[in-house]
Amino acid sequence: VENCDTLFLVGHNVAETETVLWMRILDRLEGPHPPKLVVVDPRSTVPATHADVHLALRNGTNLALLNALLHELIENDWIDRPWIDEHTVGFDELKSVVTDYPPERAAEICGVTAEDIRAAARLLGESEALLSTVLQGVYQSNQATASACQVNNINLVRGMIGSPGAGVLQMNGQPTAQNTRETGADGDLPAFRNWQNKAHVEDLARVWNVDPLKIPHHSPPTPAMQIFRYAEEGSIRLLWIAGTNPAVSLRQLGRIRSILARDDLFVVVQDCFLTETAALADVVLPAAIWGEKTGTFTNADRTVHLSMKAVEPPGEARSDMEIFLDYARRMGFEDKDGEPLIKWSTPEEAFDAWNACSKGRPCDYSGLSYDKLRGGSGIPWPCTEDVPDGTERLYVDGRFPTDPDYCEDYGHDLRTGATNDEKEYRALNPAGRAILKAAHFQPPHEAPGGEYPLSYTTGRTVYQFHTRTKTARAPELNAAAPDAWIELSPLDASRLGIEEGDWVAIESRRGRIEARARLTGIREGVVFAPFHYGYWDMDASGPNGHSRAANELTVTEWDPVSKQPVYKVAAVKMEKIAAADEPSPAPTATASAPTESQ
Amino acid sequence: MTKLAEAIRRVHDLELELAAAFAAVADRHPDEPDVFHLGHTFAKEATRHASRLHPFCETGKGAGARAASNGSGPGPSAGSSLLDDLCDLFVLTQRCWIEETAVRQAALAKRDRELLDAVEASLAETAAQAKWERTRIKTTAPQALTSSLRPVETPRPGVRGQL
Repeated sequence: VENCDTLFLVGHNVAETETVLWMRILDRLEGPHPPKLVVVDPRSTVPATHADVHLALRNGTNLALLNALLHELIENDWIDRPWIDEHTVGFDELKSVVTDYPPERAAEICGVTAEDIRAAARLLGESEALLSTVLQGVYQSNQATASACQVNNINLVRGMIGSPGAGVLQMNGQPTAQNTRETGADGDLPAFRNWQNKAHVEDLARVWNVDPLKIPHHSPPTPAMQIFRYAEEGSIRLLWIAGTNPAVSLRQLGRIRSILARDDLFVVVQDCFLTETAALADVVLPAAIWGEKTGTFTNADRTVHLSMKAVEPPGEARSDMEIFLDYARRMGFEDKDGEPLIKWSTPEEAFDAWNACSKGRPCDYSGLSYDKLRGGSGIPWPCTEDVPDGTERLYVDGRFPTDPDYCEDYGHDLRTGATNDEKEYRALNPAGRAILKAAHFQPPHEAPGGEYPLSYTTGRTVYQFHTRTKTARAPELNAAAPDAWIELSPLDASRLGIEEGDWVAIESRRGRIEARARLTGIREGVVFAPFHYGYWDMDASGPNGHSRAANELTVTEWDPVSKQPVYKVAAVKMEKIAAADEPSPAPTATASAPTESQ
Repeated sequence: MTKLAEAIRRVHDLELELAAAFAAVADRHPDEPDVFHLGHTFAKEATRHASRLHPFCETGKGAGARAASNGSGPGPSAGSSLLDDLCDLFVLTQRCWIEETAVRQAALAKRDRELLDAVEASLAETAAQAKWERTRIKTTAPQALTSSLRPVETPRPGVRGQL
């Protein structure tokens, strides 16, 4: 951020999702030699109001826009051809796909002007240090992985990665999401080991001293959505949910609640608070919250931080780690020599075991220890014997972890999610070069029209986190955003006879919610609802006469590669149900600011 | 009809059969969103493949799709699971792919650029369909075959039975 001359934020409302990063960006934007800023977002977010070019596209059309930007970069020769030839594979295929996306075509698909697309491409094309960032507006929208790849490709075709101010930040949605990616808690094998690579499976078996057959490598990881589907079918009968709240955060909530409530499904919920999900559980295990346990966090920029326990957990609450260890002990899990499988018991011992497990992999923690993490402000991996102070910048030499024997995955067909096998991957022969993957735009499966004319999207506000289990208990934060609201543009509002603060209902094919209207700078034809609001503070696990959770309306669909649910595209209709009795509870700052103040 | 014309007709009819099978499987599994959406996408694709061959099919002889196949292999018995449906689809897709390949080689031998272009455009998509089926079978099989609990079955005939 400190070194870039151009910032490209794609589906990333950084002012509300990463406030510390936004402060650093603001320092640049308000300081001398501010970077150029290009923002892609259907809402008039705070970063968008600072942008040189704001592309307020139709939600669900990211890929068409990004393909058009790549079209312009190639057409105007704003690319680094020698660098591409030396450090990437797949350029010809990328070029042949994006040839079909002149700005005029993308303008029509995305609902922005061709001039704005050209202006944005020029800023990206003429930059000398381009930093691109990506978040849920990409990951949780139509063609998520394909779009995220195109942002990488923009930096790659410009040769702008691995040098000061140039790179891509594929952000995480949660503070610990980086760690779940690394450790395998998303269902992958730990430390980016490849489930299709026999040597990786054997290596992990060696680290854990178990038979390689004990390591699950029978198929790609089973995503959460699929697990719920198995529970719905009745082929999973025990579901253990730790530290998340699917009864509010997953899509199509009516269906999720009915699965959790099934008689033939035994549900264990492990959480710090009695959430909507916990209310549907057969057994609730009270867990310690941050500050009541010791552990490490890793940022999206790979910096590892140590977080020490400050106070004891209340009552019978225990840390998640202690609960899982107790479970492993009671289950009698053993290694192949008949010794206990888990040989450690404290957070520090667990960290040391993880460091050993990660050795030799891209996220190499082997040079880290609690002692080294005390005092400073964190150390970025890889940190090894050879680089004991960690690694500030990756890809400095333009080499990427794509060697077939080293890579974490053989990749997918972006359109269908079909996995490549080893033979196909080797035929590509990436050998340390980046892989430029391309895909054609396909419209979202549920496009607005007919009975459901509006396009629906969901998201966050800066004042609340996830399903408010913590932030709603912080009075100042809760007062800033105490209840759900629905954002729409003044044009749509006047057409529907809706004024600021009116009670409105929106309805999709799956459900209906009611909240008070806020007129904002959002794109015409698009309505937004914050996803934070559920029912626990109404002493209910679901709508009890008052339906307000944004995910009552969302579709059951996910990206074919990443398996992230689609939260950002659905078709809805809207109506006024009562005149304003008080102002909308939406925050008056941020992307939710009323139009007058913008 | 020449032997090549017969082969083209066979691919044409197989593509229509495959399109109907994709659509049928999609509609039988509306609660599996990837199967549902991709199934319909692939059905449209296969129909398009058949259309591309129209100019090469001799008219007036057996116009329209050949009498629908009743399937030669043993079809799923009472009620069929997602795994059964995917396996049947895979076999049908592979059959289509290999017959397309045969026509492609003949087109090469005859230096028939128009036929070659028509078949090659379809071949790549047919291969992608099979690749997805293979992946989906791999992800479905462990749960379907190792769970001692029987998943809910849709008491309807299998892919072939619908045709």
